[in-house]
Amino acid sequence: MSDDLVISGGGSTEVATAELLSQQQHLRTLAMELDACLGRLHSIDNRITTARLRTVDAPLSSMRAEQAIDEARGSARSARDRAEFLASGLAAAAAAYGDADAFAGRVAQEMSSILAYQLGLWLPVVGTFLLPAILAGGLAVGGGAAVGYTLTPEAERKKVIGKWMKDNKRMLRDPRFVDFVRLAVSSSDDFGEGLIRLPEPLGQLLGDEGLGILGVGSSAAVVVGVASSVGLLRETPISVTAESVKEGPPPPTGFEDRAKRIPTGRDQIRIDRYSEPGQPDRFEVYLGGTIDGSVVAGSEPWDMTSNLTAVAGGTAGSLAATKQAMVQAGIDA
Amino acid sequence: MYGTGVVTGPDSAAIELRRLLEVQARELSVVLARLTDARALLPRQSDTGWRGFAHFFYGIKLDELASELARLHEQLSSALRQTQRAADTLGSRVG
Repeated sequence: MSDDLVISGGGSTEVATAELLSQQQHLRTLAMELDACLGRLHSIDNRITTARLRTVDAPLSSMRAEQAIDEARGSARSARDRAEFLASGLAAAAAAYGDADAFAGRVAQEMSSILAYQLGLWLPVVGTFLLPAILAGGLAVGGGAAVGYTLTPEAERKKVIGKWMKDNKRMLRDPRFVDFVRLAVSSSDDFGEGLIRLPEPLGQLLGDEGLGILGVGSSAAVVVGVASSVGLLRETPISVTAESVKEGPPPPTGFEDRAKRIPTGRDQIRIDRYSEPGQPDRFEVYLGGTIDGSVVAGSEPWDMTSNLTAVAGGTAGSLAATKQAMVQAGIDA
Repeated sequence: MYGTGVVTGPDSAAIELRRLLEVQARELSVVLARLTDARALLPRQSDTGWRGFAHFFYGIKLDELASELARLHEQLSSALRQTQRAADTLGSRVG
């Protein structure tokens, strides 16, 4: 499999590789080319009729040529149909793999929920036996990490994190790693339910798979609520300022083009407006990623506080900033 | 029977047929060239990271398509050769 990130419409990232999609496109083009050849052969075949050949007592080779053209038309038709069949088959296979992946994903989600619940349920028991070791190790590692984090200047921290992400980009874009993170995050509520010994069936009834009362959002809300009581993860007022206005960039032509427009520096919002006479203005809004990983809200709305507040269903600073910027840009619908 | 008739003088129908055969040869050459380019579009099985039964059957179907294209190429080449030969034969008869 190629290292390239593949963006496809609902298919599987593990099967819908760029090469496979390319093969489908090549087969479709081949079918179109064969159809064009077939049209020309039809036109050629109609120009010289058998009756004309008989009239002028034509050489035997001309009859053989006509026969070969007839056979070629049959082969071209058959090859065109085969190419179309294969192209359609590839599309169907990609969709089927997508369905299979979705099913496998649901099974993995359920398994992950069960494991997380059991881990939460048994952790206090295991912790009782292992408490001395955990305390000693936890204090050593956690304390060291906390001291290191506090003593390291913010710019240096960003540099270290950036280097780590660069060094590990192969792992970070591995679909298995993405799946792991997704499952870990979505199972956090199950872990909490196990920890407070909520009966499993009740947890399932109240959870994401049931009534949706408990879930990742409610877990995040609890975390944000508890953290904000001690001054962490607390949203602060935001303000939006238009930094620059440029004219002229043409509309994007695809995912790659759009990805290149996502802000990566200090400016975190980009809004492109496209105007056509007689038509309402069209807008595209691009938002940058998290630039402040700290749990203490600072001057950047794209921070961990906004991330967790958004997951908890609250009004995240990043969302509020985006709404303000959209209103300033004239998006009022 | 074809190919054994004796032409004793210029025959307008034969001259017209020869012209049509020459046009046919040129058009067949164009189709043949187009087919040659199109055959390069045929995917190679080993180009994907796809594995399993579906990939196995896909490979079989690709091989069948490759054979069909090879047969088509041979038939078109044959049609072109025979057309050129017929035009040459008629040319020697009617000038």
